[in-house]
Formats: sequence, structure tokens, C-alpha cells
Amino acid sequence: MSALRRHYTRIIVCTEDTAPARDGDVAIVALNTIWHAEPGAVWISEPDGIVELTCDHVDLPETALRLRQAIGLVQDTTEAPIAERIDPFGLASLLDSPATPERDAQLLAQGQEIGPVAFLRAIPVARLAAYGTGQPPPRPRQEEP
Amino acid sequence: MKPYDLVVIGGGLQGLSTAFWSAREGARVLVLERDRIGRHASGFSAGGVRTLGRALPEVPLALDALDLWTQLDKLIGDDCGFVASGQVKLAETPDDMRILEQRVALLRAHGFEHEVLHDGPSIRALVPGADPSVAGGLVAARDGYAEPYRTTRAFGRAAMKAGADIREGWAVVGADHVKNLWKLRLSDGSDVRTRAVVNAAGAWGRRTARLFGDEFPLGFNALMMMLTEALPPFITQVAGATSRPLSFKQTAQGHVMIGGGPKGIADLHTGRVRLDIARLAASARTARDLFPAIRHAAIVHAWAGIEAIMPDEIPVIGRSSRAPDLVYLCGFSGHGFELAPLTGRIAADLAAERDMTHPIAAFSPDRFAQPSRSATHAMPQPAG
Repeated sequence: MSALRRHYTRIIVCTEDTAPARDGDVAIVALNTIWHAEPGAVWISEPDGIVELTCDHVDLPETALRLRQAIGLVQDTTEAPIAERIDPFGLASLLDSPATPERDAQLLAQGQEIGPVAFLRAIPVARLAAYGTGQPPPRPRQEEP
Repeated sequence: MKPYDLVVIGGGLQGLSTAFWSAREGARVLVLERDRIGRHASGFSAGGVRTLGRALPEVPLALDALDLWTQLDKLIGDDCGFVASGQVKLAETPDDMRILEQRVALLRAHGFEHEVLHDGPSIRALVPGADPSVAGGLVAARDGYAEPYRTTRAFGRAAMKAGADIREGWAVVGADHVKNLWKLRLSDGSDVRTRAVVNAAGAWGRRTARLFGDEFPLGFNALMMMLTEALPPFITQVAGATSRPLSFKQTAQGHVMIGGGPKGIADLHTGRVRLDIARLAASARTARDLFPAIRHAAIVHAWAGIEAIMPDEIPVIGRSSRAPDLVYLCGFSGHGFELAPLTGRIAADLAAERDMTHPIAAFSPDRFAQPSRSATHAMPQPAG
């Protein structure tokens, strides 16, 4: 697996006008480079491809609630708008509708319902495909004790 | 309160189909769903209506289930978006072609002729969007796809219309068998009594089985899928690969759904899932290699649903040998969507002790009590 992966003690997510920087322990990444994020890891889109940054702790900027929820790093206690649950197929038509605050709220509610995550930003298939090589072994079945 | 004839534990597609068939026969039915209807595997399936590439014991069931898919509008009042687009399994190499040839020979030896082998030129004519290097493929022309959540909801509505009671947010936490009735203890401290129980709890099936003193090796995974932006139409069939997991289809709106088995990480306690980006990327590579049209398409969404996975990747369907009047219908390992219209009927028949005409011995809950149980098929099945 040739995918780039780096570990930091702390990742600070900054607003888009902040210059990214990294030293041995701390990475500052711009919000607009984050493609996908989960607790303990963010994937950023760099000119050479997708890079995974793992971390012990993430600091988030005081951005809009919807962004924080969208990247999945914060289980915010604030109630998100509740959209009627729709089929993933139905999601396709939602994605095609004009981007309005109402549509975004509905998308976010769907994302929360689904559990993992609308990506923070779209990414070409080829770019995702370039994250690693070959066919990883199937993930083993998980089992309860 | 008068006891129920049947309590179905699990409000996914399998459980709702069971409730529908059972209520249709006049039984007094209750569905208990610990979360919400279709919240996990059923709502997030890739929606493949697939007889192609089934494990051999599943083939008769899959073929009979396919007949039901064509009648759903009459049966439950909704066609569930079923499109008989055909499904194809593409061979990327000569080795893949040999696997497909062996597959066809195996099916013919058992009297099945629904999968048809195509050579390179033939498959490229049939699926012009496929990469020109494709060596051939296997086609099941009557297969297709449907809308998973719509299907789940439609079976739920039909079950209610037939008289079933469906409760969301009710978990079963204990079970006692007293005077030929099951007394199920619920998470709110109340209880319900029923003559029979169907365990259709999906990934929670093992946990539920333990409430009744049963044990089998049901595991789980989070099956991941991706959706691209809308593209001009370039494929009508649902496509898979032979040696790599893939389920690939283009929706009517032009979006491409890529799934078929890459697994993320599931947490049964919270019901949450996490994506595995490396394996998602491998899935993107398979799709890119087979369908050049999507190389520069943007992926706009990804999700995962928690699905029960058995070691041999075929379901558990049958009566418990230990607990009376308990039927299992779980462990579908990512392949249950197409089977559900039929397997719900089978579970309803088992629960009502009606005669069973379908061959279900291979799905026995007790099969892992026997030593050296191994996988029943060599070719990986795509999830969904």
C-alpha cells in the first residue's frame, strides 16, 4: 500500500485563509483541503493525491455547525434539521437540486441518518483510486465476543 | 392481552416481508424494531435484484424470488422501482473467463440455465461502456435492481395493511418460554406474549439468538457504497467483476452507484459506521478499470450499512433445534435483498408450521455445530 499516511499528535483545522503548516507533532490544515474526516483521522486532497493524517487530537475552527457536523468530527448536541428519511437513490435527486440552505440542511440530515458521511467535497474517482494500489485483503468479519 | 401468533424481531426487509406474508395468512403479527424501519442493511443495500453468481444453495431460492419481484406491484401495491435491466459479471482476464466457464458448467450440472456465458466481443456489444480489454462475461438477463428503502417501506406498509403491528424503538432484552408461549421482555420494562418468534435481527441476530439460548457464528461488517455525480447514460445493466468485489450501476438520474462488498467498520453498540478509505479506494480502482467513463467523475457521497456476515456467506434460515417455535431469518451476508420477498414467506411458513417445499437445509442454524464447515462457493458474491 503506497498510500501516504502521517501521524500527528494534534491536527488544527483552520479556516481557508490560514496557511497550512506542519511540524513533527502538529499539523495545521486548511478546511477547504479536507475531503473526508473521522475521529482520529482526516484525509486531505493535496496536489499529489489524497493524504491521510492521523492524530491523537483534532482542534476545529469555530465554523458553522453544518460544516462541523458534515466532517463528522463532532457529535454536536445541537439538533440538526430533521429531513424525512429518503432512499440513497433519492439522495441522487437531492444532490441534483439547486444548492440552497434548505437543500444543504436536508443533505446534512441525511448524512447524519446514514451514519458515515457525505464527503465534505466531491473528489474524482481517479483521484480516490490513486490512494493506494492493488486489492487490499477483505476486511475480516467483526464478531461480538 | 391476547398473545400474538408471531413476533418478528427486526424491522428490516426480511422481517417486514415475514410480517407481510404471515399477516396475509391471517396471523396476528407484531414487528419489534429496536431502531427504525430499514435503518441498517435494508435501507443501504445496493439494491441488486440478482440471481447471478449466487452460492449454489441460494440459486433455487433466488430464481423463485425473482418471479416474485415481477409481481410486487400486485402483491404489495408497489413495484419497488424494480427494473429488469439484467446483471453481468465481467471477466477481466483469461483466468476470470475460466472461472466463469466452470461456473456455468456447475450450474448446468444442477439443471440451472439462467446464467449465460458471453465472449469478449459479445459482452462488449452488450455492455459498450465496459473497458475494451474485458475478456467476456456472464449474464443473467432477467436480473436487475430496485430501490432498497422504498422496497423496505413498501413491505412495511403492506404488512400493516394486512393487519401487522409495527413498533419502532422497541428492543427485546429477554425471552422466557412458559406454557407454550414466548414471553418477550422489552427495553421499556413491558412484555409481549407470542406463540412463535422470527429472529430477523440482521447484524444483531446473534445477540438476539443468545436471548433464546442459541449460538451461531454470525458476525457483521459495514458494507460501503459510493455515489458519483450524474453522468450521461453509458450502462443499463448492473455489473460486477469476477475476481474483485464490485456492484456497479447507473441510476435513472445518471448517478453511478459503486458498491459490492468493500467493508468499513461497524459498531453494533452504537449502530454507527466508519468508512475504510483504503478499501473504498480499491473499489474505485475496480470501477475505474472496468468503466473508463467514470474515471473523471466526481464521487459525491459514500455511506455504509451494518450487515450480518456468516463465515460461509449464506444466510441462516430455519427452525431452532433448541428453542421451540423460534425461526431464524438472518445472516444474509450482503445478499439478502433479492431473496427477501421469498425468504419472508419461507419464515412465515416455518413459524406457522406449514409444509416447506423450498430447499433450505443448507441454511440450517445448526450447520456450524458440525466440524469443518467451509465456504460453499468459490466465486465471491458482490454484496447487494
